[in-house]
Parts: sequence; C-alpha cells; structure tokens
Amino acid sequence: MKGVIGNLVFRFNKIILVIIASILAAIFIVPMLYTFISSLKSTGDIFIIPIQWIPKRINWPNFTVPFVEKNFGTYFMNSLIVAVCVTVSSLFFSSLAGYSLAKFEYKGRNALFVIVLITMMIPIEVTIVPLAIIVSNLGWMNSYQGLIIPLLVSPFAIFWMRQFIITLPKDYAEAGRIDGYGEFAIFLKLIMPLCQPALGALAIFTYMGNWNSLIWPMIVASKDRFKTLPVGLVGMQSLEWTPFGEIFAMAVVALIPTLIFFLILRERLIKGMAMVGVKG
Amino acid sequence: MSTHTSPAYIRRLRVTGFIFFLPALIYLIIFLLGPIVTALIFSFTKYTILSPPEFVGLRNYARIFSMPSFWHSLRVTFIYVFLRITVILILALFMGLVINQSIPFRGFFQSVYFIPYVFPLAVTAVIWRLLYRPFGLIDQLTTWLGIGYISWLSSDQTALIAITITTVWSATGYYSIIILTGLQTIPKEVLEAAVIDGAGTFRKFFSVILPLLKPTIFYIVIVGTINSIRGFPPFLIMTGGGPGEATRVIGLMIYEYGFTMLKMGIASSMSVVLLAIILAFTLIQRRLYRYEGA
Repeated sequence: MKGVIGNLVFRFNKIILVIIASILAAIFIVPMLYTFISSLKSTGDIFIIPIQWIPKRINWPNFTVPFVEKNFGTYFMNSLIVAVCVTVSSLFFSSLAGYSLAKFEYKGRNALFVIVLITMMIPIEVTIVPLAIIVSNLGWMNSYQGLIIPLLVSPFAIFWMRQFIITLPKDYAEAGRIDGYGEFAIFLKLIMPLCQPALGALAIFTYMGNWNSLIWPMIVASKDRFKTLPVGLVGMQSLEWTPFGEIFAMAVVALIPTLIFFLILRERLIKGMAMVGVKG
Repeated sequence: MSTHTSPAYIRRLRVTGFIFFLPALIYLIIFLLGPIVTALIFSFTKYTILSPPEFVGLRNYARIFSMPSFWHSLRVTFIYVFLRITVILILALFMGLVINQSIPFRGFFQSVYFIPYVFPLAVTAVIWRLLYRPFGLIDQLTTWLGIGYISWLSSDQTALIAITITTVWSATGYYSIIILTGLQTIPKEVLEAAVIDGAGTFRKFFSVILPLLKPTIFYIVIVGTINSIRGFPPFLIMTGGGPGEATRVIGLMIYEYGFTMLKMGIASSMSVVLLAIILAFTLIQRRLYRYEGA
C-alpha cells in the first residue's frame, strides 16, 4: 500500500518538477526568441503593442545595412581573427604548461602552480591600466598585436589542463620514452590526443571569452578598422538615432557562431566540464 | 646500470618540465604579474595624462578612503554580488536537480538553461537594455500581468535589480552544470537509502543532498564572486553607473578613473584595494573549503 501511495506522490512530484522546469525554461527562452524575431522587424514594428510574435513583414535591411553602410564586415572579421588566434595559441601553450605542472617534478613547480592560481583570480580591472600603458608604449594601440598578444596565454586554461592531465596515467609518457620518442613528441603525439575532451571544452570557453570580450578591444581599438563586433554593437546603441532593428540583427550575428559551436559540441563541452570537476 | 634510474635522466626530465612551462611563465610575468606590480607602484604616485608618475606616498589611498563615492561603489558591488550569487545558487540548485532526474525533455531543459551563457555578455547587455525599454518585451509583460510600467534602468530603486536579473539569466545555466556534476558524485545508494527511509523530498534535499553538495556550493561562491566582480561590462552598457551612482560598481569606477578621467594613480590605488579584497576573500574561502574536509 505504502509503495503505491509513495509511487503516486513520486509521480505527482515529478509532474510539478516538469511544470516548474518548463516555466523556468520559458523565462530563459522568451528573451532569445524576442531577440531573433525583433532582428527581422523594422524599428517601428518592434515596439508595437501587443508584440507580433510572427513578424508581418520581414525587414532584411537590418542585416544588410550594417555590413554595407557601416563597418560591421570589418568588426566581424576582427572578432574572428582575435578569437581564433587567441584560442589556438592558448590551447597550445596552456596544455604545455599544464602538462609540465601535472607530470613533471622540478624545483619551484608548486610555486609556479600557486602563481597560476593567483593570476587566475586577478580581475582585469587590476591590470588594465598598466597593460594599456605597456601596449601604448609598444606602439600597439590600434593594431592586431595590441588586441591579441596580451591575451595569448590564460592562467585559467593552464589550471584547466593541469587538472585534466593529472588524471591521466603516467604510463603513457613512460611508454613513449621507452619507444624513443622525444619529450616534445610525447606531449604532441601521446598526451594531446588524450586531452581531447578537456581541449574541446577549453576551446569553446576561450573562443567564447574572446569573441565576447569588450573592455580590452574598447581600450586598444579607437579606430574603426580594429574594432571588434561587441565594440561596434555597443557603439551603435549610443547613436543619436538608435537603429533598434539593426542592433537586434547584429546581436544575432554576434551570437550565432558561438551558438553553432555549442549546438555541435554540446556533449563534449558538458563532459569536459564534468571531467575537470569541481576541485577548486 | 639502467639509464632509467640515472640522475642524468631525472635531471633531463626536470629541465624539460621547466622548459615546457617557460613560455607560459614569461607571458604571465609580462602581461599579468608585471602589470600587478606596476599597478601597485602607480598606486603610490600622482599620475595623470598631463603629468608623469610622481611619488606621493599614501596620498591616493587617503583620498579614495575619504571619498564617499568609493565606499558607495564598494557597497553597490557587495549588494550586487550577494544578490546575484544567492539567486544563482537557488536557481542552479533547482535546475541541477531537475536535469539529474529522469524526466521528459531533460536534454532540452539543459540546453535551454545553458544557451544564454554562450551569448556574448556584451551582446546580452545590449539586448536586455532594449528589453527594459518602454514598449519593450518586459514592459509589455508587466503591463499584461497588470503591474504596469516599471522604469527598470532609469530608477535607482530598480536599476541594480534589473542588471542582476540580466546577469543571472546569462550565467545560471553554467552554474547549474557545476551543480549537476556535484550531484553526480553523490552515490545513487545514498539517495535511494534516503527514499527507503521515507525521507520526504524536501527533507531529503536539506538533510542528504545539500550537505553533500557543500564543496560544490563553496566552489560556486568563490568562482561566482570573482566572476561577478569581473563582469562590469553590463554596467557600462546598460546604465553607465547611473542613475546617479546607483549602479557604479567598483570595476566600472576603476575603468572610468583610468580611461575616462585619465587619473591613473587613483585608478591604480582603487584596483589595489579591489585586489586585496579578492585575495582576502579567496583565502577565507579556501580555508573554509579545506576545513570542510573536501
């Protein structure tokens, strides 16, 4: 008897759970949906009451005008260049450093790990003024070097890779040594392939982080030629006549690459996060 | 004698290990440690765009600590972080628990909760600024609910709440996955035993699940706090610190002093205070974390 009632209560709880989960999901979805739909509307149509969830007419110039009459093509390319360069470099150098911390024993290794942990915690606000002065003195304001080089290695990425590589058995490297591989070849050919789940998630995080970044590009790039997509987008909202439809459209353009990334790599991303785990 | 045990072999490995770290180390010194030390030095100087750095001792610190606006911004930052982390924890716990169950559309819920996190934060802020406008999505929603128009971003009563809603929306999915990971480390038997004992859903949650999640929750509090302090772009984009001073968080204030007013000395001393707060917080959390035996 008790079992039957328990079962019913269990079912009932589950239904309530699904209902609350759905309400939450709605709260999360509606702003996204609204953004996508508004990107297809003219500014006048966006603010019509009640909201037209199915646009009566589609206003394609939202997508073309920023590229043709403004510099969004350049902004888009700049964002892409910065994000790709930083991601590739960060994956390589951070894995190498993480491998060093995880699998080698040498004097000062623990001190280096502490440096990584500390620098990981430092918010950009603390370093940004000196960093801007350094970059300015190097003559890198309004240049790709200025946008990219200060971001090439991330302490978080080192930490992330170290946490993953430390879980790998030592035998792989030993086997490689017995087979006569050099240390760098062991890293490249044996260790890196084993790191795929962690690298996949890290690649997305790094790519997203840099595709998204606003503050540093805003400081380095005052000229249109070097502005990134978020900088251009923020610039658009302070125009005297705000092109709302275009802002929504360019927001959609800015988020589509990461959205595609996420949808393709969803499993790997989540698995990677689970593997490194919560050992803060 | 086998080469595998020879000191030369070990020594070579040590050198290799260090060489592998070297590029990262050089980078960390130039672009992170260096700037931190430089910020510390600048904080003792009068340094503006008009004058080169000139040593003034502790005068910058005396000045910022006697500035009501500085204390105010610390308070705003604290309220924001506290509010944001509390709401995120509650929502993420719930989401994690739901995704962990075998309910229909599990994968769908998980994706929906997570997707806002992949939106660029600057883009999210630009979008939400429009959502809060008169006749925008949220105005229409509150009107439909009979609440009427709330001047979210232009009232000092609601501006901070409005930004918190935005940044909670943007990041909760990420934290829910961390919770999920924590939940999956709890052995199934423990949960089942709780069910057999007849522990109610709520009791089970508070007496069994929550204590086991403590390390995860601590982790979220640490990382969440630091991420919240770091994430000042929404403030820059949505309110610019206003109305009045209602949303001028410390990150934004440092940015304004450093890059709008170009008072680099003052900006540096503020950033050193921020650094001290973050380090103290990290240390306390780490102590607690260790104490919990995790």
